[in-house]
Amino acid sequence: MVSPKFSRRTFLKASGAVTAGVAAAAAMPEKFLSWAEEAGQKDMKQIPTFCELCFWNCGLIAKVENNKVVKVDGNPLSLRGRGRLCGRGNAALGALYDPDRLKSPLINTGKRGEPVWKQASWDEALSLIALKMKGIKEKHGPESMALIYHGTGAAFWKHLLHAYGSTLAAAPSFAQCRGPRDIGFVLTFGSDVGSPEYYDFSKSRYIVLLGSHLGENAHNSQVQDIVKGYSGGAKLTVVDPRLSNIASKADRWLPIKPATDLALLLAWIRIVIEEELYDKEYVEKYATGLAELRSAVQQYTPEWAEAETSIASDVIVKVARELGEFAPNVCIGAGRYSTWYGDDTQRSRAIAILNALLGTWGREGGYFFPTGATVPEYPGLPAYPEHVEVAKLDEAYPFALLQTTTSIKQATISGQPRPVKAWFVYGSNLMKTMPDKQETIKAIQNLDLMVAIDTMPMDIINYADVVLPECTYLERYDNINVGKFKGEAEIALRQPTIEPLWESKPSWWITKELGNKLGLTEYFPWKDGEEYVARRCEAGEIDFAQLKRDGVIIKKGGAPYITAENQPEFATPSGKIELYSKQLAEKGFDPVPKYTRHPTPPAGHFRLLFGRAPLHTFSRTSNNFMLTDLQKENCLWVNAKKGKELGLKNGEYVSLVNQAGVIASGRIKVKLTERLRDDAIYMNHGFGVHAKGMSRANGQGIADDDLITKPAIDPLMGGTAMRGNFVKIVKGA
Amino acid sequence: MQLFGVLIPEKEQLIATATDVVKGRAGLSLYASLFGLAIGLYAIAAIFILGHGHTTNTSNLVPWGLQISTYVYFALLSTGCTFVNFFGHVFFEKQYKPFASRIIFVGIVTAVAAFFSLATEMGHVERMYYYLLSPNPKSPMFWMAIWYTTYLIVIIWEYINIQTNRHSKRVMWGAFFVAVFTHSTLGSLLGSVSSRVYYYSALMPIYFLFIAFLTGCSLTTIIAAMTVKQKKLDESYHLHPFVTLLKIGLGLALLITFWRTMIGLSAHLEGSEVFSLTLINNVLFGIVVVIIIPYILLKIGKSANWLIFVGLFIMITQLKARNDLVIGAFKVPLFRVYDMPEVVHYSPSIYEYLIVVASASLVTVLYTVFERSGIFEDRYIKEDQ
Amino acid sequence: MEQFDGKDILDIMHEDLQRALKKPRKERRWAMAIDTRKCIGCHACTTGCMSENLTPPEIHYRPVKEEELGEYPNTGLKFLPRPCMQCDAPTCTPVCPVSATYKRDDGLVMIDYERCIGCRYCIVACAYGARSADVGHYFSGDFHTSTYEVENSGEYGKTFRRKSHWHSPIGNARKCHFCIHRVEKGELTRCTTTCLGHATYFGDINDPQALITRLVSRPNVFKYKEELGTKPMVFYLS
Ligand SMILES: Nc1nc2c(c(=O)[nH]1)N[C@H]1C(S)=C(S)[C@@H](COP(=O)(O)OP(=O)(O)OC[C@H]3O[C@@H](n4cnc5c(=O)[nH]c(N)nc54)[C@H](O)[C@@H]3O)O[C@H]1N2
Ligand SMILES: Nc1nc2c(c(=O)[nH]1)N[C@H]1C(S)=C(S)[C@@H](COP(=O)(O)OP(=O)(O)OC[C@H]3O[C@@H](n4cnc5c(=O)[nH]c(N)nc54)[C@H](O)[C@@H]3O)O[C@H]1N2
Ligand code: SF4
Ligand code: SF4
Ligand code: SF4
Ligand code: SF4
Ligand code: SF4
Ligand SMILES: [Mo]
Repeated sequence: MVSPKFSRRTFLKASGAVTAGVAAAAAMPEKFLSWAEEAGQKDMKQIPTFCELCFWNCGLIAKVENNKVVKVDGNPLSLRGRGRLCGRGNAALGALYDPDRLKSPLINTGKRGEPVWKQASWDEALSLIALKMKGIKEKHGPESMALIYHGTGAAFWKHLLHAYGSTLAAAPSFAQCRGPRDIGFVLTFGSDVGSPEYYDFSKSRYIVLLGSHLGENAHNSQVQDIVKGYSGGAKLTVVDPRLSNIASKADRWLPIKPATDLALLLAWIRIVIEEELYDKEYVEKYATGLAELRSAVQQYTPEWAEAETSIASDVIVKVARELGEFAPNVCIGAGRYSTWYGDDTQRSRAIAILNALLGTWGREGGYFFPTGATVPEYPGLPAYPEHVEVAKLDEAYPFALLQTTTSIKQATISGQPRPVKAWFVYGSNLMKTMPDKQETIKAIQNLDLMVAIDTMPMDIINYADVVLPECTYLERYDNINVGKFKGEAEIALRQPTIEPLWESKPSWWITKELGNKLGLTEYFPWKDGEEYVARRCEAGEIDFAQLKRDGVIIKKGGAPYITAENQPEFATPSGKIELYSKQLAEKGFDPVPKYTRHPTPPAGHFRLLFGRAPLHTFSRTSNNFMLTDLQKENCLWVNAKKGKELGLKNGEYVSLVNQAGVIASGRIKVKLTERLRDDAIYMNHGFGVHAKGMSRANGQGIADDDLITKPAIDPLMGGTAMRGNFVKIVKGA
Repeated sequence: MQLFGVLIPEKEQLIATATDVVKGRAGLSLYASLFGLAIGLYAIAAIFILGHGHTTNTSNLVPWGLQISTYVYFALLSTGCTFVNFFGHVFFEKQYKPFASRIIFVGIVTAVAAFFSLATEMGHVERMYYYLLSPNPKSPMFWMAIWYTTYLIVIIWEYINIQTNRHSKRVMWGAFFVAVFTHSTLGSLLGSVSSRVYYYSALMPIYFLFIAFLTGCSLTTIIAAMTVKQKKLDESYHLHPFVTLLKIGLGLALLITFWRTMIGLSAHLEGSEVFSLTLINNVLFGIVVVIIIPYILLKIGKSANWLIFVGLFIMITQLKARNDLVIGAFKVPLFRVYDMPEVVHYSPSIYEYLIVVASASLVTVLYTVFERSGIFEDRYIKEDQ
Repeated sequence: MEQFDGKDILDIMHEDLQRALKKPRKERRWAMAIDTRKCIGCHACTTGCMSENLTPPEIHYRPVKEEELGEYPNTGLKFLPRPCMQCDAPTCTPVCPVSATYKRDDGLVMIDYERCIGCRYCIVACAYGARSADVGHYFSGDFHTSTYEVENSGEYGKTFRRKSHWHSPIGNARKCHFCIHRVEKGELTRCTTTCLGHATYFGDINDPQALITRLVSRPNVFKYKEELGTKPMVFYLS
């Protein structure tokens, strides 16, 4: 993700990407060839593809016997998985063979929110959509159609959107997830930290995590790397109000008071500067603004930080000194999910600054420079229609380098600065994904057209006029996936392992058909998914046959670390690492992060915290029978001592209400634990699905998203802060 | 050897009974038992046709449930009958004689009924022949089978001897000892399971024998009491031995139950908490209801009707007691993960309950049919001489 | 210690495995080691095993237990993955009336699905709760006939299709079998190859050079419920 403000070239250089003259890696190693035939399964086909149960997209190999996928295994060539699948990825068959899947297009003949479904043929459903789209284009212009997307198949929908004449596309993975982190780093280094992230954990000698509950956050290769790191001797400090899985492995667990991380970071920055623990040469050479930074952080003494964070000042100092001792082979992780409290971009800035001071950017064990690769677009596509200038929705957020869902929602409700009349929601269960459910509903009620493209009858489809059933990732060709890694890049293919079940169809097909009905046929020249992928490979001199056989092709090359020959470039206005950010000052923001205290829970309330369950991906897997067999509901983590005071018993069901009086529907099981502070409660996100069609998930546990209202918005980039709510536990549910 | 009229009722008798049943003259109890047998057999069929998944409530956490406890229960009843038969002959020759054939007969049918339950519990009963093809002498369950078969043969033999009035002391002693071995093996089947504290105990074999004796006493008391009533025999004279045996049975049961619980409570092995978990039930039910109350009831009255009531009371409470024993071992999960409960609760499915009905009805049907045919009357014996 | 002499542990264990397979079976001794420090509680092994062995609802050959230790803020957390321990002195095999479950000459504790009468005695007898009764449930309900659930898992290198309760393994006892169907084809166990923490090791401890042998000869080894005298072949490293 990179700002249009920076030229693509410099960015690629900055992130160490190489595009030409690199050798493909060896084919499937001998050790996995035995997969080819197994006991009693001689006629079993091995089809490589990649996982979509989360967005890490690990390579997998599907074992197919008489047209059924019977097993999945990791693809050893995949850099994202390295032959391993996580707890969810191994449950592929629970997604593929879920009897609750969307089976045919549905047309809502009732109201949005109270749907009455009519099964429809693809032709009927797509004709209806096309008709409405034409009307909207005439009345409000193409830009009034928005796409909200998440997942690999979205590429085809963006293509359709652009061909139709709109550029209004947003992913919740920006304004509800990684946005603040990425912007904080772009403002500092001129580059984000990528996805998969450029953390060099496996080589670190000292690792600091703030949040980042790896192990529960099961992002495959990253989990492998951090385990390799700490078990290989790296010191590990984890800052988390909760003893996360990774915190339990740490040399130091700092159970910080929620919402005070910035104070801790600023205190660390101060110590690192005052005690001259920073990498003078590096800072001298690559960074600007040390003086301004130094003076700005004077106020943040360890003692002050102790008062804010509840972490003993001597521990704060110790960690800072250890950082200095092990620098530059230190990685202060920037995490991933970062829309926490509204000042998140500044927190991310502080993390970036601390890393910069310690010279970890482009250093072994810190942040490596990734190797990139590119696959050209389908050759000979006509140019998209001339883009008519329209009011930018994100004006309010000068550093929203990607379109935010936030402002699409606001514009849809207010019609300001311009109307948004149609939503296509691809692979996003928006009802749970965006905070302020009622606002989301209000927006949707303002639409002329609401289309959901999904695999499951999730919450979101209840608000759609038309529901289009996509086949799962195991049944389709899809966009080619490129991943940047250390010294190598991977090009990965998704290919069908069996025919789509029921009436479900892949995105390449749906968009092509819809394109035809919209008179956009020329934009969809491909015969089918395979031809689409093959032609792109051909154009990029990528051996498609090999890609089909191995699933991934590895491109090696590119130096991960700073050397005399491999000097970094920083795509910032100054071309240097910006400890002090002039562009922030110009836009009226703090050029150096400033700490402002966040409100604390009123009496009888707890701060609502949430995170990942190792065996689930948001609501995405909430109905996956292999996973519900292990965890079907979330539970409410309550500090054991506090819980006993409140007379709570393990396993009893309670209900929850937030500070604004919003009651979460359903009930949740109490888990008394020693792993959590007593001023917060914690739950897994993704549960508390409210969708009848989801027979296993419907009404299981409570949805954190039910309780997240009136979120603070990050003024820099429009991220929605989702940990600002306080909830009360109501006994007897 | 003469079969009809001696070992099983005369053909005419059987036909007569059949026609009575058809004509509606068979009497409530027979109809009730026949109905019970019918629905019981239906349940058995259902289990075989639908499979355990759809019919039973046993699970990984509770691998053994009501079907196993029913098996144990009837096996113990059978042993009990053999015991009573033995002590009856040895100590109360005259008073006992009128009931001998009835009691040993019930001993046989309860042993058979036990199998109803066992067979329906197995995942693949059709493979039972592997007991012969690949026996495992280390397994108490294997010896269980061996002894059980022997046991059946011997008590049938004993029955034949009684019916043909060639009652042999040797066979009777034999039957007694085989019964002891068989059902102490059954005890060891649980008692030797070192991984389940609730079972694991050297007392278990003896526990089983004592309980067998008690349940046997209660069943035989009922039989005796009914016979006494029906044949207008001298109640106090003929029933006195049974009251004595019952009291002894209760005493032994109290002793063994008490020590099993005490030893369990003092154990500090993994899973020992189940003893404290089940303490209230083991004391209130397992001791007060199952032992103390019957004892008091015995003190209250001695009439045939009253004894029938006391007998039934013990038999029914014992059934629950057996189930408590079998499933008690599974209260605390061995390896608690994911959504597993801290304390496991198991309640049998309707099919599992119907298996109990099936076994019970089999006994009552056969007994009633044989009984009304008059085959148990001494006159046969006289004629034989 | 992910790398051993600069080599990927999967490669090392894979070579160890090929070496072991060259020996006659009775000279092999399969064992597993689980490094509880590296185990990150991701449960990938649990579902990896479910996927490999097509196990039905509620049957998990390798669950991972999470144990909290101490009191806030001095809290600890331990993850304990539990395959079948392949005990050298198992409590399960002696009780089987028909010798359907038995200890093979390479130390594996096998279940002969065609012989097992489903008496469940072994399930009661296993001290680790490692055995389950397959009573014939399906995840996908009536839809199961069109899914993988009736296909062959290849367990024990044989063909079994869970078509109805007359078809094994329905009606049988089931448990972890060290993926012997993979191992004898020269593949490591599924929980080993999918383990995100690289915490699961597998190999032949009769082979002195094997990685597993080197690991279990360290001082920091413990065996789960060793006091029962079951002599587990699964070693936990702490
Ligand atoms: N299994 C699984 N893995 C996943 C996903 C999934 O759905 N399932 N989703 C993936 C995606 S898209 C993302 S973005 C990532 C998200 O995963 P992360 O980026 O790791 O999310 P975080 O919010 O950083 O981490 C959550 C932890 O933050 C702690 N926390 C809460 N409040 C605070 C605070 O104020 N300060 C500090 N220091 N810690 C706090 C919580 O206690 C919790 O332990 O996970 C990815 N991986
Ligand atoms: N309260 C709260 N809100 C959050 C978060 C949180 O932790 N708490 N996490 C935030 C983060 S980090 C992120 S990244 C976002 C994630 O937000 P989303 O990506 O919206 O998360 P999911 O709930 O997984 O929604 C995925 C949807 O895609 C569907 N789907 C799955 N596979 C396919 C497919 O192959 N094709 C199609 N067409 N659809 C498919 C699923 O059925 C589901 O409806 O949520 C953000 N919002
Ligand atoms: S991390 Fe797990 S769920 Fe995500 S893509 Fe990889 S295997 Fe699939
Ligand atoms: S763990 Fe249990 S099942 Fe496995 S060998 Fe040991 S006793 Fe047998
Ligand atoms: S369930 Fe099968 S393996 Fe287990 S003891 Fe019974 S017959 Fe043997
Ligand atoms: S060895 Fe195979 S069967 Fe055993 S737990 Fe691992 S994956 Fe499952
Ligand atoms: S896969 Fe490995 S790290 Fe994950 S839970 Fe299993 S043993 Fe632990
Ligand atoms: Mo995310």
